[in-house]
Amino acid sequence: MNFSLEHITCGYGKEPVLRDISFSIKSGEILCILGPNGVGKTTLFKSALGLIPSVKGNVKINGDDIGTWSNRHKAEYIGYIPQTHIPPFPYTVFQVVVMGCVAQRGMLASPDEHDYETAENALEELEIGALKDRIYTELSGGERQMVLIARALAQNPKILLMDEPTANLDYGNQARVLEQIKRLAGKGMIVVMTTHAPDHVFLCSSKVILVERENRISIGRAEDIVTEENLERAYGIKVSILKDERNGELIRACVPVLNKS
Amino acid sequence: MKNGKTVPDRYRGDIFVLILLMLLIAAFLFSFTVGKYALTLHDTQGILSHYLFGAAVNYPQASETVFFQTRLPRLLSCVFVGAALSAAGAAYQGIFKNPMVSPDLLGASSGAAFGACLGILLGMTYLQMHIAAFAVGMIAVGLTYAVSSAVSRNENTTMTLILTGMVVTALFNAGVSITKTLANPDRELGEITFWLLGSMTHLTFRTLPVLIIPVIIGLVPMMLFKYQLNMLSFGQEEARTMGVNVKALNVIFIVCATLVTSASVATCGMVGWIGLVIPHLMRMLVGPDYRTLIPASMLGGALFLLMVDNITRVFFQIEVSIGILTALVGAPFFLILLARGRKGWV
Repeated sequence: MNFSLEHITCGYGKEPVLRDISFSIKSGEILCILGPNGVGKTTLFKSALGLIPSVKGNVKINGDDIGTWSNRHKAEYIGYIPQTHIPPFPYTVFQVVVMGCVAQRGMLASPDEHDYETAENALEELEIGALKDRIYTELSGGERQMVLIARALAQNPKILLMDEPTANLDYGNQARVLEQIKRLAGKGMIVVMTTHAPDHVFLCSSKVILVERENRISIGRAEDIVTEENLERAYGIKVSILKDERNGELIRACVPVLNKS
Repeated sequence: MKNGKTVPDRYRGDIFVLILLMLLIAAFLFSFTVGKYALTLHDTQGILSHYLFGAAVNYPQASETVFFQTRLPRLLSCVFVGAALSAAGAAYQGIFKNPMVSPDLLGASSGAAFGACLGILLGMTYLQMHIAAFAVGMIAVGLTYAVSSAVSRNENTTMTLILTGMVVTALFNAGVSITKTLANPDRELGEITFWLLGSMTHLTFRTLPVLIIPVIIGLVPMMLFKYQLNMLSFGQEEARTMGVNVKALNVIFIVCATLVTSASVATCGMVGWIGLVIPHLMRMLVGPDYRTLIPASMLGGALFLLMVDNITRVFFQIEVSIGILTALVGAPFFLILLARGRKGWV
């Protein structure tokens, strides 16, 4: 399985936000999209999903241009996990997850025994079976994020696109969500996510795209791209990257250096 | 069994719908006996068994006349208008992912009313008037939809939609007022005024199809595609990424909901509140899953309007507009729902 963007220029209307972006990732890889607010991360994301038409370029799965695919066909390959928001109606967690598997069976489909089982398995896989009968709108942000991941898994996709999966989560929940992301990639899933935390790029030991202002884009391995100089240029602050070794594994952390006042 | 817990949940909705259906049938039969002419339950049963099963006639001729000429068309009007407005409200709420919208708030009702008024003023036939109501109703909803999505390109559509709906409603209400001003006070004005306030007495046995046929045409697709409203209520983008054919379903639901609304408005005037209150009540009783919510809303709306119409026949000697009554019952009821509402209900 291979997911690639080829020379994508994206944006709304005539003014492109980002120009000529290409990357390609394989099964089991994680790609983080990193960059300051307002550079067009979300726009790039929506172009990759086909939610907004790209100005130029192609999005391909295994070499096939998905631009002309139906929503249903795309949903078989790509699961999208949006930033959590509260829907207007008080569905139970189970009802929300079941929707993930029913949607791609067509307009006349409604849940059957098989869908219930798929949803059940998705909840079990993420170890949130206990939430099943809770009301989705009453959950905490971290729990809702997990439910949305379960819904995407119920869709049985090969590629997961996650829009800031760790935003608004407390420290522990951020780590739990990252663990699940790594676990899913370990099982052969392709994961593309946006993030505001350069640390998460190290934690996921992934490929990274650093998007800066004026269409300056760097793509590569975490160690090569997330450097003190690059972060300083991208965010306009001094950053220090600390290294340590735990259990024979090199760990890195980014810490901003604050101006003395 | 592995899914032991989910199966009863699923049947709970079905059982609820079944109970509503039985209540509706009981209320329908009972409603024959309500009104100035005392048609007894015995006579009702006699007429039904005569016409359905060929039993011998055992009732006075006058009862049969009342049964077919006044009661039956009136009761069927209530059932179809109640079901139509309530299902339309539930569908609009899902499409616009907004529990506060209803046919009256989106401009559908006032648009249809303006179309129908134009029809009366221009001396159109009954069928032409219905088509005009549907056409202008579609224009009104389309306008609300287009303006609100142009204004709020980002996510905060809830308030924008309600405000746009109010503005569009005001616009078409002004149109209704203009037609009233232009109408001949001796002829059309009375007709328009009385009809607008809402009444279940307009249809006869022969003209019933102008209500029933468009309502059935609109409700059948809503029943077929009802599960998809669940995904749509999470927002268009999310629904698309789940594999839902959002564009087609949006068109189907908006056209169908507007069709049944305009058919109701063109036959029975502006009967408000049902489309807002009944789906809310049903959501409290059976939960938000559209698989049960749509049928439950239809049956609940029909039941509600039947009972409200019975009240007008029992307690008021003169013909009181049913639109006034649904507001009198619906508005306080909605306030109670809001006050007692659990988080997520409203």
